Amino acid sequence: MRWWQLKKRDADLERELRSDLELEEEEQREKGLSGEDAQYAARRAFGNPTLIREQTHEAWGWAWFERWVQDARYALRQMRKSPGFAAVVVLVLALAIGANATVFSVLNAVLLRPLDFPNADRLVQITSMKNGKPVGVSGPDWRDFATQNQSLDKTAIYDQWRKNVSTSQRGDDPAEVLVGLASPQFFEALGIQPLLGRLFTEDEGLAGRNHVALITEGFWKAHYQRNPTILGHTLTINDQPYTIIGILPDTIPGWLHGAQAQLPVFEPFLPEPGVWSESARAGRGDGALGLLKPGATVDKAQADLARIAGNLASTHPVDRGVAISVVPLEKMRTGDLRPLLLLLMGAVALILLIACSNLAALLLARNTARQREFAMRKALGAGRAALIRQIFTEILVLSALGSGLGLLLAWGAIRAMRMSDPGMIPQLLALTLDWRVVLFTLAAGLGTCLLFGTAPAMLSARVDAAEALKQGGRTSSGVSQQWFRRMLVTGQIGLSLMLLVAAALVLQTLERLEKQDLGFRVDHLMRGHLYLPPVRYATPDAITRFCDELTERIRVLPGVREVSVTTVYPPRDGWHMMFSIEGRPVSRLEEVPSTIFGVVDANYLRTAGIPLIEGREFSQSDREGTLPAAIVNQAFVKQYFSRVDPIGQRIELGAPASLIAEDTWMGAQRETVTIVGVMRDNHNQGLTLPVAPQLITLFRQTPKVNFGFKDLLVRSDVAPETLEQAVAQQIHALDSQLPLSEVETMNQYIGDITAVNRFTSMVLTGFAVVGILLAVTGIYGVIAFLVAQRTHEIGIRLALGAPRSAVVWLVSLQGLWMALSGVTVGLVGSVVTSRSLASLLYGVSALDPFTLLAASTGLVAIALAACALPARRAANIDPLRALRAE
Amino acid sequence: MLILRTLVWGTAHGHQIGKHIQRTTNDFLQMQHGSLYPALHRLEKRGWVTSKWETASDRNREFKYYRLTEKGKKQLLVEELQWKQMTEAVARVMWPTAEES
Repeated sequence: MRWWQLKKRDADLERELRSDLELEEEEQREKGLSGEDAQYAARRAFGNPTLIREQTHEAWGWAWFERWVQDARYALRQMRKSPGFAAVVVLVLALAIGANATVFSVLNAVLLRPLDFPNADRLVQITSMKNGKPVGVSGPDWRDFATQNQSLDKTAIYDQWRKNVSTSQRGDDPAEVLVGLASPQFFEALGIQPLLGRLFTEDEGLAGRNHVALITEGFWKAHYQRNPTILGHTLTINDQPYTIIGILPDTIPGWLHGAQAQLPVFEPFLPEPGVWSESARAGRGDGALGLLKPGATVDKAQADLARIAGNLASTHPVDRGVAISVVPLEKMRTGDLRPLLLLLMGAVALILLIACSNLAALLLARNTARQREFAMRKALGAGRAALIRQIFTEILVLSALGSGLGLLLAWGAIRAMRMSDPGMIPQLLALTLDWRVVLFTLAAGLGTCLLFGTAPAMLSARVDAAEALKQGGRTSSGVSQQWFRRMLVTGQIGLSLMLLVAAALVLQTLERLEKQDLGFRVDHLMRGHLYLPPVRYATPDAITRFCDELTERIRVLPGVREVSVTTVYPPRDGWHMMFSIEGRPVSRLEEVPSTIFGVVDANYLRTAGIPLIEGREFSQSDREGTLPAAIVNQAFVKQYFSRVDPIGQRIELGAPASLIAEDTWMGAQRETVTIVGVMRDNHNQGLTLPVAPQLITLFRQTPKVNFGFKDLLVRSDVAPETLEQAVAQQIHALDSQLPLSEVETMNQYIGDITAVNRFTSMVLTGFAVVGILLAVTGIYGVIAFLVAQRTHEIGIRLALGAPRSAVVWLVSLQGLWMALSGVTVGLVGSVVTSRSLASLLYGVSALDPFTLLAASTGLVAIALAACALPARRAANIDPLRALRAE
Repeated sequence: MLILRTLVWGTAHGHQIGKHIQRTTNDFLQMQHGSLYPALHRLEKRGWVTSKWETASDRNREFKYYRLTEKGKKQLLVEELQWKQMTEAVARVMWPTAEES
């Protein structure tokens, strides 16, 4: 028999009992009893039909279910009687659970979802470390690692370069695209099979044979409409024809290459012809992956590769001081989002705690008011277990409603997050509400039910029936209950303070980051990127000529104030160059200093708005043939020329020839420059790191480092976005095959960098507001209840002559006491969690006293305000009414 | 057990079973026959009896008749055996035979 047949069964039983009872009645009448007597006699002989029915229901085995349904119906009736209470509980639960579900979704998308590759747990990323900072691996180094290691099944080297890619045969209309350069082992390690065609072979990594390309499915769909005859088509990369030999699935994530979006095109790994030669050993900058042998651990691989690195360091001087690091690939995925995510988790857990304690207090208060009802049920025979079960059922119903609504809210929040552009948080694009989140939500709902239901249920069931019924409803809730509620509210206030402090600190960080003086003028500045392919610009001269012509054309455009072609601009990291100062020889390679380097044109300082401190700027008279000039920043001077005048000092670029024959950048011949000026410090390692020494030269004067990669800076009088078209036209006029890419204003660029901080502060502020709201409702609830309980006493006080202000003070004092103790708890909590918060902050300490004081005072004030209404109500109590209403 | 035994002699409805037990024990087991119903339903759940609504032979009304099943018959034998064993054990304690005293 199934439970849905219960009703039918019950009707059947009813019929059975009735028919037998009638029969008994007839027999009694036959015995000679009159109508009514016969009825009574029959009933007596038969037994109690209600009891019989109950026992039969028990015999069917579904009694527990029926009891539960009864409890649930009762719970719903109760809810309808006090809809306000039910609404508040459901809403609070929905907010808390919804927030949790949303954060869990974010975590799921970013952290927990396993990587999309087979053997994902065996994939590691291999990086060289110099001075504790990760740099890429170099070709020869990697080869040695590959041949000498004992712990890796496969290892692959890869890189990514911006190239001009065109889908037409003639190379028309190229776009600048990030192209991946991958050895065949790259795809093997990741376990990627082509959808069509084949992967690269070993010998396609050699010069002359490497003009083959793989494209991803997305690129195929967008540019070729999934034309099945795609294999064999020509793709033009940097004006050279490449043959498409296969289609890759869309599973290679962009973050592997440090990019937001997936890379659409791959070519064999050959960044430059000399990548495998010994001289390129110092040229670190490529990425490397490894697939651990089954059974090998990351630590073992780390030790193994460290051993090889040690061997390399002893045989090759350039490798001295270079360590190796092996990290599971999954760790790469989150990058610097990790502290943010942990913070989110902590904050949302706090919110859930506050919500649960709030609800526990609310529930406790309500059950206190229902004590008469409980007492009566007890008197009628309900056991403690039955009462507890009934209270729990009520809570379960509320939790179910709250979870359901919370899930809905989470779904809405996720859609909103996906549609609003989160800037540099691309992983959020994969955000969905999947079954794991739903499961988690249900578990959270059940958990909160237990969390906030147990205490009230236990306490409420401990009702002394006689006492409760006697006092006619005006029962004093047990001392333990009141104390429990106060503890809860104190805790809530403490947790809210922690959230408030965190939000305030993160907001201050954001402000510091955005408003700090970056050392140059950010307004009205546009930047873009060009790549002059060597096929058409084979010599540094050709590059210089193009740049000269371009700047001339752009300068005369209306609205343009200054224009410069450069390779650096703040706050970006430029490239690093080793150097030596004339007159200060260095004996060991590890001691050769290195600086942030860049090549620019004569207009750079003017365009970027960087003031000159000493000496002179670059000028038009610095040309090929005249003395090569260099400008350094103040940090450079402080570090290397603290006691000498830097002007006139000569610097040799590149590692000293005596220590290493060929340098990565400078090749076999070094160039010497003379310092002619000192520029003001500007952020050149991102927004948060301190300014590093920097040296810049003119690219026309240092042809060895005059490459095709160039950035364009345009300072305008008008809004910079409006100039994009005009500038692109000028470039097109000079060279129709040259795309202008990555065009944005400097404000947008810096905004992108701070996107994560903005997101963090937005979220934290939201959480803090929710937390405060919840705490306020908590205080209000407790104080209002207090006033209701003590109406009698307050009435007596007023009747005896107490001024109304004294009553207000009496009530407010309760609130003040809770607020102060709560704030103390919160301060302790903030101190305890300050270390973990510190990693997100910039320019403000995690224990900033001003912030702590302001937040505490603010919260106490809010708490007092929450007491205002009940206090006023208390003061307006009519003593006659209070004393009379018994 | 008593219900099962009663049903050996054919089908009966609740009232009849109660009356029968009362009669055959000479009113010794005077229980309210309402208490039979939970037991009857328990037996039905175990599959030892089945029930059906049939019209009574002597009155123009429908009653729910219970019938013993094969399983029920076997169960009756099992319970009979258990009861016999129990009474023998009790008898041995109460009135020990000469050898055991």
